Amino acid sequence: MNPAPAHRPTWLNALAGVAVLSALVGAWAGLRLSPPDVNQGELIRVMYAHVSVAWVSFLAVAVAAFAGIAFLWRGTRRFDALSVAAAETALLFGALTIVGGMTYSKPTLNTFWTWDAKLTLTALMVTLLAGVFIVRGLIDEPQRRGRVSAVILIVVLASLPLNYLAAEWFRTLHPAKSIDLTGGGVTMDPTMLTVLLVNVVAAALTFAWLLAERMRISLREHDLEVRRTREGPPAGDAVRV
Amino acid sequence: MFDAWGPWTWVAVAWLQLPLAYGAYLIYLAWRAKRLRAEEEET
Repeated sequence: MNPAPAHRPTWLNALAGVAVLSALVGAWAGLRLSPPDVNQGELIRVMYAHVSVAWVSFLAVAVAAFAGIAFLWRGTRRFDALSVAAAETALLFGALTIVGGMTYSKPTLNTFWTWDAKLTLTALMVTLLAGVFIVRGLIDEPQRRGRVSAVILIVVLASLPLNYLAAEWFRTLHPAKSIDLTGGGVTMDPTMLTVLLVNVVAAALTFAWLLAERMRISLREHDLEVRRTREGPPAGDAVRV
Repeated sequence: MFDAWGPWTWVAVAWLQLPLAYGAYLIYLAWRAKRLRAEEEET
């Protein structure tokens, strides 16, 4: 494996620039371009921030879990580095989904939170993602650490279809889908749909940027761990009781 | 408290969460990279 570069690559700066630019375009579209909603009025603008981040949290979980599966299959530590980097960004986007959802829910449904299926599954997703890092902190052996966190991430991935369909399958305060990937079509104004998709692309680019930044640290941590393993523990650690 | 908030206040709060969270995460990553650099120099 090639060592992780210590200098900052040009493509990463370019990605950061594109992500920031797309986020500014998304914010402009959400705050200025979108018309007010017939029922929610100006509050519809909260939806663009909330839904885009929620979709990207699912994407981040999928990347983390598939990298975890690749690690289980091949045992290559680079896949574990990708998996843990994606899991950390998934935790960020998952937490933002919950806080953004509460910000959307209070003025439209008059409550910050309710323990219905959709919200509970999202809270469970974030809790399990946090659990990945707690468990990783408890395991010293790298291969075992990677395997255990991969299994947790596969469980989180398995919950996503249920989370996606929870608003239809269970009684919930969460609104039904306006974009139904299961064949129901799109029930959204074309301008609003465009604004939402612009914001989804912006959130996805931000995810890619943050993932790349985190991945660089993961690879350097991995290199350091390999170096330390080769050199053996410091003399002081050998007599630790 | 929240009953007095108008729609644009909720919109502003919802959108400000994003740069705040991304910014905080980037600061955390910079701190982690700095700590890692110190460990690399020690090794």
